[in-house]
Amino acid sequence: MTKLLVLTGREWRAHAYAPGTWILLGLAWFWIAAMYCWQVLPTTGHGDLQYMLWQVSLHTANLQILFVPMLTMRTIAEERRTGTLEMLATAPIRDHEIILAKFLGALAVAGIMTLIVPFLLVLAVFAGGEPDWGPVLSASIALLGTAAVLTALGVLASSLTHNQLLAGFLGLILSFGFMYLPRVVPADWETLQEVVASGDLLQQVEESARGLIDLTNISFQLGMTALFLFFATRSLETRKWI
Amino acid sequence: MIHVENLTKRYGAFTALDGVSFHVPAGRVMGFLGANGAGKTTTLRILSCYMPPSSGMASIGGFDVVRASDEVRMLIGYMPESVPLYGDMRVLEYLRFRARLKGVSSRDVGPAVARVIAKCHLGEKQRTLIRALSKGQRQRVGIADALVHDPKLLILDEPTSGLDPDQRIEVRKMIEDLAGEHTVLLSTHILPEAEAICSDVLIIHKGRIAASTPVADVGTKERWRVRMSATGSAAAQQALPASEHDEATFDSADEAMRHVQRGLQQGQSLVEFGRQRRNLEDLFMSIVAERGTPS
Repeated sequence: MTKLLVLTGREWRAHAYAPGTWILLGLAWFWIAAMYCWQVLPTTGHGDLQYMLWQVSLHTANLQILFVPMLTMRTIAEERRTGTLEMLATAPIRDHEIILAKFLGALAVAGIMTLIVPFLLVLAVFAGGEPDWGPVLSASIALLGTAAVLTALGVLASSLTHNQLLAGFLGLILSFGFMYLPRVVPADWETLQEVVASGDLLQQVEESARGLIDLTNISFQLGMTALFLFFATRSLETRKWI
Repeated sequence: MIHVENLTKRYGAFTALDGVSFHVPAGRVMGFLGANGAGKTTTLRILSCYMPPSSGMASIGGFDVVRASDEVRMLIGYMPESVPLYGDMRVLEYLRFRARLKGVSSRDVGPAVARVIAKCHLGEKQRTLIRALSKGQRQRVGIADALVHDPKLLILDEPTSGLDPDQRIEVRKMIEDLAGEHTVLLSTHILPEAEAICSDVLIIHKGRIAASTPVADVGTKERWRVRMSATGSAAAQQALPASEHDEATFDSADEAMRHVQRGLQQGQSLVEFGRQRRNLEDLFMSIVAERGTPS
C-alpha cells in the first residue's frame, strides 16, 4: 500500500509540475465557463440553476472525451519509450500497482477538472441564485465516474504502444466510441440498443444532473473502470509472455 | 548467491539463451562477458525479474526469480544498460522516491539516501534536475539507485558503456569500492575492465556459457607464439598458405614444436619462438574464433 501511495504521489507530481497539465486544465475550465456565460446564461439567467447544472455537466462530460486522453497518453507509453518501465518493473512493486498508480495520478487531475461544476454553482450563489446542492453533488459524482472510466481507458490505450501521440489518438477514438456508441446504434436494432443504452455515460450524467444517484450507474462505472485497468495490467504483462 | 540452471529464453523462433547454467558465490564480483547479442542483457533481465525464462530456473539468495520475485527484487539492485531515469526529478528527490519504492521506511530514507549520495559522489549534484546531468553523472545516479536499499546483489548492465575515459575510470573505481560489500554481477564487453575489476568471469556466446573461470587463472595459462618466414625455396613458399607465413599461437609447446618442424621441413626459417601469458582478451577471441560471431 505504501509503495502504491509513493508511486501515485510521483505520478501526481509529474502531472502537477508539467505546465501542459495546467494549460490543458485552464483551457478546459475556460471552455466550460465560456459555454456557461455565452450559451446558458443568456437563455436562462441565474434563475434556472437546474438547467444550468444539466448543461454544464454535459459540456464537462463531452470535454472529458478530449481532455482525459491527452492527460493519460504519456502514462505508460512514455515509460516504455524511455525505458523507465524497466526500472519500475524491477523494483519490488507489482504490475497492477503500477497501473493503479498511473490511473490514480491522472484521475486526480481529471477530478480537478470536474470541480468546475460546483465552482460555477458557487459563483451562481454569489450572483443571487439558490441552487439545490443535491443535484450538484450527484452530478459531480457522475462526472467523477465518467472521468474514472475514461482515465482507465486512456491508461489502457497508453499501455498498448511506445508512442504517446499514438496512445493519445487511440485513447481519443476509444473514449469517443465508448461515450457515443449508445447514441449511434440504429433504433431498429432493439436488442443491441437496449444493451448499449444501459452503458450510456452521457445519459447517466444527465440523470445525475437531475439529482438522481443510481447505484446501477455507479456500479457500471466502477465495473468498466476495473475492466479497463485489468486489461491495461495484462497489456503491461505482455513482456512476460514473449 | 546466484544459481542458474538450464536457463532458456526464446523470442519466437529465435533462441536468445540456450540452456545457460552458472553459479555465483556470495561476495564475488562476476564479470559477465559477451559480444553484442550474445544473451547478456536477456540473462540480466531474467535475473532482475523483468521477464521470465522460457524454461529452466534461476534463483537469487535461495528465492526463485519467477515464484518469489518480490523477495528477489528486495535482494537485488539493478541498473539497466541505458540507465533510464526520470529527467523531471532532482537527484535527491529521485533517490528518495526510489528508496521508498524499494521498501525503505520513511524514517530510514534520509540516512539511506545520504549514504549513497556520499558513496557515489553526488553531493554537489543532489539538487540538480536529472535531465541536466552528464552521462557519467547519470550513470552514478543509476548506481546510487541500485544501492539505495542496500541490496545483497548488484546487477549492472554495461555500467561504463558510452562514457569517456575519465568517467569510465571514475565508475570503475566506484564499482571496485562496492566489491567488498556486495556480490556484483557486471555485464560488459570491455575486457580489460573486467580483468581489472572482477574476481571471476563468465563468457556467454550465442546464448550459451562458453567459459567460466576465476580471472586469476586466465593469466596463468600459457600460450606459445611462433613466427616463421618463408625464405626457403619457391616451392616451400607456395607450400604454406599465406595466413601461416607470419605468426601463429598454440595452447601447448608440443603443438608449437610440431608447427615449427613442419615449417622447417618445408624450407621455412624460424624467426621467433616464444612463450606468452594468455589474457582475457585472448580467451575471449579464441572462443569467438572457434565458434563464430553471434548472429
